[in-house]
Amino acid sequence: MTTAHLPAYDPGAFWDEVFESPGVVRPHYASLARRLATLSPADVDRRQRAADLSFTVRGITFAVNQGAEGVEKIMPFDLIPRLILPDEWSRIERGLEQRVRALNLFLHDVYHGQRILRAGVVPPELVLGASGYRREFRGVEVPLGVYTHIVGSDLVRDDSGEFAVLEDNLRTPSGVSYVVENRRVLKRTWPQIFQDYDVRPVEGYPQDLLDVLRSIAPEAAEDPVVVLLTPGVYNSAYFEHAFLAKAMGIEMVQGSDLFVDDAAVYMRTTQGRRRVDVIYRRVDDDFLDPLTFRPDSMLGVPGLVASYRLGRVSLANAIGTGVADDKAIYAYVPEIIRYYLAEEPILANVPTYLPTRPADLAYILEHLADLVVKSVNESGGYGMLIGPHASAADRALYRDRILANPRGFIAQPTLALSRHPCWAEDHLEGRHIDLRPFLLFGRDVKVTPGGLTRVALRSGSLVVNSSQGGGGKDTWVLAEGAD
Amino acid sequence: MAMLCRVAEDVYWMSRYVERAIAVGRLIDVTWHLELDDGDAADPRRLLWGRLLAPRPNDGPLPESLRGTPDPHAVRYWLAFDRANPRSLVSCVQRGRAAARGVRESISSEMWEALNGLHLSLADPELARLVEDDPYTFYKRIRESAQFIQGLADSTLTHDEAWHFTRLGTSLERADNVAHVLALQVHLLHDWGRDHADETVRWLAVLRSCGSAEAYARFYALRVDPARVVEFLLLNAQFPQTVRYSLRQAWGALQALSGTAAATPAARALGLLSAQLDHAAVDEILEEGLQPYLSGVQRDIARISDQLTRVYLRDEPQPGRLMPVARAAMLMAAQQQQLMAAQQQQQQQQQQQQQQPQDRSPCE
Repeated sequence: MTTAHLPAYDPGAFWDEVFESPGVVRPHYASLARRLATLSPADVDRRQRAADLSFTVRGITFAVNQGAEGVEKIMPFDLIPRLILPDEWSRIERGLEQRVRALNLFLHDVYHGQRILRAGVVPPELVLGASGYRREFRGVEVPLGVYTHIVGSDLVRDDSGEFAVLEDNLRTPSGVSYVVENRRVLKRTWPQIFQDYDVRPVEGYPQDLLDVLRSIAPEAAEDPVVVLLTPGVYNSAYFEHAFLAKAMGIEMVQGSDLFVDDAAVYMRTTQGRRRVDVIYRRVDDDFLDPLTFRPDSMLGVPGLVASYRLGRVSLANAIGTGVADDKAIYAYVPEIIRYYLAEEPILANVPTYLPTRPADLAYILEHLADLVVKSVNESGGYGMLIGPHASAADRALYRDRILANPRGFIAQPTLALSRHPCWAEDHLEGRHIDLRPFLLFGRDVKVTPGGLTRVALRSGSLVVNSSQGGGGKDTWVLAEGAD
Repeated sequence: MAMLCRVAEDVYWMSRYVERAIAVGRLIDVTWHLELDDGDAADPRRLLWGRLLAPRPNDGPLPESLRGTPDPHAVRYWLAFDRANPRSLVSCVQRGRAAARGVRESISSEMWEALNGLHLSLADPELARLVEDDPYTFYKRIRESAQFIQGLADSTLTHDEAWHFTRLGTSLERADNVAHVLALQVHLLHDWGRDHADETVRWLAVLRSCGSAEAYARFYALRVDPARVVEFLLLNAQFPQTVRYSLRQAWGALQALSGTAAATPAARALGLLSAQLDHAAVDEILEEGLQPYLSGVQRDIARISDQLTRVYLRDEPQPGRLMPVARAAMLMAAQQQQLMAAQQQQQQQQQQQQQQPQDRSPCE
């Protein structure tokens, strides 16, 4: 459809989620565009402020990791939803399931027989030397053979319109609370735009998560007690921890609320000790148990790991999954899928250069100005170099760093992330976005129909992380048969 | 249903801070009105406000600027807006909100949002100045928001442990505050009769500071009389804003909390205090001295709270969690040891004295 009545909008030289070409809206966005056209800037602005206020009053905040403790911020929310077509979604669903199943087989393998290493598919030194590899867990069996119960992979759409996986988050991915809250807030502040659409609900996530957590309980537990372990109020995802615990009706505990006695885990309650069977832990491996990992951890529970090894308590996700979302291992995921499943990957990887491979290293050093360099050990948009935007001094710095520690970095082409119109004061402007869907893996795999669409709210920025000034959008997966 | 000890403690403190915010706000509001009635006749304004700074148990020292006879502005700022004052109204709200934030999965979203909203409404840096212009509306709003939160606790929480902890916190705090307001006004007793009209206004203000003026009027249907005011605020068994009523509520909550709690020192101390108020008579209290009596009540409340949070809610092998008999045995053993040590020391001292060279005294 043409949109002469829509405010002027320049899709630019990117894949635009809404506009096929300047002035031409993709069919599934047509109703939305009609509604947008009827709105005055003042009206949008009013709804925007209502949404912001709703986030603020309800304390839907995140803490910024660096700097002073406990600075609470709301995540900027853009009112205009992002729509995903049923067939696009089904491909994402199948692709993620394939990927996560293969990665779980990989995890089981590297902690047991290590067939894949002997077959030479992935270099052993890359796996065994990964900071996320926990040799303490060699030979330990995990319930249902599943290591990653909760996965939040980052997908991007390039200028061809294809989705690709940018990153797998297999440890303690966060953001799902925004998936649910963004939907709730949008329904409250702008109910009318839902009228012409059949949008798949996301409210079911906490219940699905609870099912998965209960499914991995030790066999001896008849009516398993599930808790969520949070690092505490200063953690950047604290809101989410409280949100999930509340929605599931389980206790949110801190390390000091738990103790281990005779290899069983208990929580301290007003009526004495109470046995804990499953821990959805939002604390990193390193901090889980001062007796096994970092001895200075104040967030963990002494003896927890021993109890876990004996199968007296279950953890989600399992310990040691970090080896499979290591940014260098990432480059091998297509091979990992082929090796274990004998299938072609449904979702592509983003081309990735590893400084540990001599040919790649030469290419990286030559093309630093075109590439994005990421530290393999950091997340949240910290520790990265965006070549085209970086100063010569920064590039030189990264060059030295890469040469000093080739295992510590990867490089990828600077992606032309797709863009989506966002409301900017009084008009629409294109902003780069990505997509983080959430996958649950217990007895079977379930991908929540939706996801967090993150927006690089600063004009021209490619960084979508909330800690770096990114915002969010409600993400609609349209039901089959919808227009 | 059992709950995490940490959560119980935070819920308890959250409720105390919310009730405290009400009390602080009411006290300032009432004093403000009193100032208008009272003018600068009998009691200079400075004294009127300065009296509100009387220390409570465990209070830190006052800042230099508030010593002596401070400026009423400064007193109001300190009591309402100064974050350096842990008992100021904004501090109470901020601390209550922090406690709620730590347990937001255990309280209702409605409660959390109301408390968070109250907290956010106090963020305006211009607030202190604006309030000087229209204190009544401000303090009324604070009171209503806080009472709304208390009402939400009753109507949106399951009446299980968490709710009992909110009742416990609210009631203990209220008993403490009523005792405090009375203690602040004890000096009025000494002045009673000098200027009758003035003093009636003051005692009415005392009642208002406890939100009790209307109930008092209905109960006695008589002119304000200090002995009756003291009796009413301390010993009335039916009105919620009295020491006796609040302590009974607290005792009921603690009893409901669990069977085992009955044996804890906190529960026994609270039971004793509540029973003491149940069987007290106002003349005997005045005979004994109102000031010491009120201090005693406040000290007891502080000790009970301490035992609650430090002993009952910490699952650690502390003396307070041992069965009384076992603890008594330990105490006896310890006393015996002390006794023996003292005897030994005495013997040693004697020996050493005897071993000293027996010099002749120069006087000899």
